[in-house]
Amino acid sequence: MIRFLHTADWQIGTQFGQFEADEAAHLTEARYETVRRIAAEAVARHVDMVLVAGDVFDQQTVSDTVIRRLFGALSDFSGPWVLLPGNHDAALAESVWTRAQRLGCVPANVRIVTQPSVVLFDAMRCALLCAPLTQRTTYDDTTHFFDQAATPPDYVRIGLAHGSVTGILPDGVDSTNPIDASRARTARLDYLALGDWHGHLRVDEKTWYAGTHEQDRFRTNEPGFVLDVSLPAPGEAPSVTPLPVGKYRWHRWDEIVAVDSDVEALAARLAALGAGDVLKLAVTGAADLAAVERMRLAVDEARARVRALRFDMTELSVKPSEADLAALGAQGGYLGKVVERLTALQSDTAQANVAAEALVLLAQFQREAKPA
Amino acid sequence: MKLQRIAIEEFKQFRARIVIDALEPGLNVFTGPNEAGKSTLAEAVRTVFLERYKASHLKDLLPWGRASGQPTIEVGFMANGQPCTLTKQFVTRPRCNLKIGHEVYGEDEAEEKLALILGFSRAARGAVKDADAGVPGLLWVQQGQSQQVRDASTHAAQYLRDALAQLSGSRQSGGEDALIAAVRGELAQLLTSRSQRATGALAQAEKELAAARDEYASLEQQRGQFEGDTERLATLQQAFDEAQQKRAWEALENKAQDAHRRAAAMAEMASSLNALDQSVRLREAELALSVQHETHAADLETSVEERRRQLEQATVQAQQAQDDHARVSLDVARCQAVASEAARALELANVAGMARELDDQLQLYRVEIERLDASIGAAELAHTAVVEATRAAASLEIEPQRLQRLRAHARQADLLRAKIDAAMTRIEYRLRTPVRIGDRSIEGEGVLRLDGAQTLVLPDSGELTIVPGVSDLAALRAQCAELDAAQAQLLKAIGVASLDEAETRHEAWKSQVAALQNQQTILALHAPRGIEALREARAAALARSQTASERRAALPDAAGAPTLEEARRAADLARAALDAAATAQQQAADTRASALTARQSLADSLRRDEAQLASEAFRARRAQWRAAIVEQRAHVEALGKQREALARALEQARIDDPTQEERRYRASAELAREEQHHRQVRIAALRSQLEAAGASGLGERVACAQAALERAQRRWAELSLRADALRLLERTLVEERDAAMEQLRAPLTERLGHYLRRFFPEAGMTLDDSLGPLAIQRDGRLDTVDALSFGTQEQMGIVTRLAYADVLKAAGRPTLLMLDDAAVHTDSVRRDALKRALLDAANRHQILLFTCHPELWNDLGVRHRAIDELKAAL
Repeated sequence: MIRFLHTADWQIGTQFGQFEADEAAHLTEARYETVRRIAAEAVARHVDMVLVAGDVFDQQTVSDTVIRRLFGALSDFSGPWVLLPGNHDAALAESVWTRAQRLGCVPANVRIVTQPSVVLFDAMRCALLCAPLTQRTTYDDTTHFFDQAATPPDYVRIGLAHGSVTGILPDGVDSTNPIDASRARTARLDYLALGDWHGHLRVDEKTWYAGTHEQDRFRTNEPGFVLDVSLPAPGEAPSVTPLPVGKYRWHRWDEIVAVDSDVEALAARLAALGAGDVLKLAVTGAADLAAVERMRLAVDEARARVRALRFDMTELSVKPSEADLAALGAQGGYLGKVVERLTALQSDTAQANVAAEALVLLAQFQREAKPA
Repeated sequence: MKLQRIAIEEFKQFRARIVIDALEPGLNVFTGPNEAGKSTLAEAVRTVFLERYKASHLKDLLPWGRASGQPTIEVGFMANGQPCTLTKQFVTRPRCNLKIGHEVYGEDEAEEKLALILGFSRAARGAVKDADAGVPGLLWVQQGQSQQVRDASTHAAQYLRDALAQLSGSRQSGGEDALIAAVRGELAQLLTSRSQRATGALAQAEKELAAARDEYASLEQQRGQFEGDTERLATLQQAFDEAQQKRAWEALENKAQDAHRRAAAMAEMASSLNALDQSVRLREAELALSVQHETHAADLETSVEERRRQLEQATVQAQQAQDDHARVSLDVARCQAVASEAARALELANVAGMARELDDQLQLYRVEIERLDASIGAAELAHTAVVEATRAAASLEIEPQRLQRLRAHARQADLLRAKIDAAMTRIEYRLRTPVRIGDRSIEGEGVLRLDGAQTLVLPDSGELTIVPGVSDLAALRAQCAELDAAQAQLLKAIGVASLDEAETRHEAWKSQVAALQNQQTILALHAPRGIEALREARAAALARSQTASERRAALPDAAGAPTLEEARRAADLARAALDAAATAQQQAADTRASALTARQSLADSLRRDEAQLASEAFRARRAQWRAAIVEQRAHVEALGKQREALARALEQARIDDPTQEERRYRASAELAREEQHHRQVRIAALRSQLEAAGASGLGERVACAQAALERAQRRWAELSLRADALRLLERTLVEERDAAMEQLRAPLTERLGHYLRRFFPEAGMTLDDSLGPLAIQRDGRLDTVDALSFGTQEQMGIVTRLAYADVLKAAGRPTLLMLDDAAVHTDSVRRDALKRALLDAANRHQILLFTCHPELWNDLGVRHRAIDELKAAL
């Protein structure tokens, strides 16, 4: 029996421009931390090896420090690591891999497969059919040679590749770097370890995407896992267990508020968030000034707790209530008129967000002016 | 607010304490003449409410005529339903004390409480400004200022607006402009107020966004370069590997080797062809020599034949020349004979000519001699005549001076005689009988001249003695005698008897002289150089004639001689003919000589060559040459064929040009190697370049720059939204406030109408922006306040204040109206209207009315208080 961890798409070196610099720094850092956690899991679970199915690095020209840190993060697990170049870190003539070799920071137990080849682990009686990307994009199926690749008899055949399984992934996903959906069968593989898709995904019994180890975008497709794979014997079905390792959970909330209780519910949900959460909150619909204030308050409080937070209420209409007007001292008189006009302006899409902001600002000014 | 009590002490006119109490909540009237202190009382009320107790500029509050004092004012009033007492001391020991209900406040705190009650702000220090006086300035109408309501109202606009805003339902007080100011303040942080350009944080965000964009673009460009280079590296590497596998240069080098071998073979072939060429040339030279010998011999034979023919021809020609020469020689002899004959004839003709010439000369000489003989004869005659004439002239000649003198004497004598004649007494007589006079008698008629006394004897009658008068007659007579003597001497000298004779001789002399001259002229004509010359000329001519005669005699007889011209022509012709013949003879001689020479030399050479041809040795050699020619020709032909075959083979080999091929293959191989080497170098260069770029973490920097750009965009969008929102808010606030102002005029307009109708039924008032009265509308026309009469302006001023007071009252503000001689320009009808208005207003406001005309205000139903009495009361 062979047991290994299947992971992919570490994308080391990713920058998170959608967040402020301090938030982004933590998210970048988390990608190393989680690699270390994978190493620890490998040790704890006594696996035979760890397979990384491409996109270890986010790009070719990360700094030397980034390269050294990544290989340093592998150190806890002394068994074999097999790293496969993906589209982000393809094995080009000059690549992040050639630099890593030059830097001399690749540990002996780390195997970087830069050429399509069959790697044999005789002790495990295991043949690893590797299809690294040697260019960023290709329209050829790099796993095609698996079908003809000969391996010693009684060896487990494991495929390792990076690309899109044709006809399986949701529409809109790259059609470059295609991988035939029936490859595991046609190449008589016991397991096909794939990378590129950031969520973990079972394509068929023997074909799996591990997904990224640490979430890096708001798409909810179950990222943040590694797969703990056991192969009992050649030709037998693998046993695959997803193992959560990610540090941060990314949430994307598109909220529509209509009544006060919506705001209350949102505030409650915000209150439940903690340091491990990354949130992108977009609020639409309509709320009165008091509700907007409350919502802002709740968001500001949540911002202090969570790792990173993006808040967008530009699509939210502000509809001052009677209570708002009373609070503003604007039931009548010209302030009332001002509020009325700004409220009405929000139906003009070109000015809606400006008008809403103006209302909120008015409320702030009035609130600040009152004690004086 | 209702005043109840006023106490004043040491304040301007009031040195002593004056107390006014039990003030009515409505109308109060104070009377007093001018200077009584009405205005001082009004000012005291103003001062206590409006001036800060600590104000340092209030020295003029001191009692009149005193440098020190303690101006003190105390007022008791009801405010907000609570009794209040305000006491202020000024100048010396400033104090302020305010008691509200049971609460007592002191000094600054008291001032603050007071301001709160009055509802307006005050200067922190210094005098009360018009602007700060606010509505109280409007309601405190000083003497003669009731019409100046517009100036004061401008400053009070804010106060009024606040008040009016409350009436309109807003409970906000004084905050609206503050709100706008706050919004503007915030907006100014982001946009400049004038040009609406970004400033502060927004400008910074814009700048950072631009910088981030540039940075990102620059890095992105570098990354593009990097990726391109990476691809180039891969392509190069692949090309290098393929070339290394194929090793194209080796195949090329093998081909070069092969070509080299072929080139060597070709060179050998060329060398043997060369040798063959050489021997062909040698054989050909030998053949040529033999052929030349034979050709030479053949030529000689031909030449001998030819010359034989020529010799015959030359012989004929020589004979011909001989004949020609003989014939020409005969011609020459004949021509010579003709020529000598012609010469003789010419000579004879010459002699004949000379004879004729000499005959002519002789004739000439004869004539000349005859002429000279004639001339000599004539000359001799003329000479004789000249000699005769000269002698005759000499005999007749008189000295000219003597003749002259003689003539002068004669004239003088004549003159004297005339004088004497005139001096004599003259007697003219006509007598019938003779008369005796002296010794003579006279008769008939005549004249007698008497030069002395004369006696006439008259027959029968006696005598008459006539005595002339005294005269110079005697002198004259003496003179005359003298002259006559001189003349006689002269005549004698000359040799003549009289002057006439002298004159005749002189004339004869003259004609002799003329004859002489004629003879001399004739002589000169015949012998200009004298007769002797003529004689010499005749001798010479005679001699020459002699000589010519001799020569003529010497000449031979030339009879029958031709004319000279003919003879000369004949001689010329003969000589020309001779010359031509001589020339022809010379030519013939030359021709003959050359013909003979040519013939001789031809004959010589012919003889020689014929001898050679005939020689035995020559014949033997010639046979030899002919044999050699046949043999050598065969040899050359054989060699030529051999050479041709070789040349064809070489040509064939050359078509391939193995040398060129070898060069080409070697160069190609070299190029292929070089190209490969070049690739290697470029791969190394590119790799190191890429390594350097990779090591600098280019991609990471791009990602960072992109992230920074995203953040900058976000920041800018946020600030920009805030700026837009602030701008919208500010604009909306201002617009709405201004719109609200418009509506707020309504209550004031209503109150104005309320009072105005007491003066003008159906009238209305238009307000300006700061709510001051602008114009009155009545009877369908609009009059601006400024255009109204002084009295009407005054009434309008009071009416406006009453209306303001109503509005303020409705807004919960304290009101107090003080009218200090406010209606001095108002007529009685209008005053009645004003009184009604005041009484109406007094229902709502406390009014203090000061007047110096109590009689005009005694129908208000209100007790008058005389200031003087008040002062006297204490």
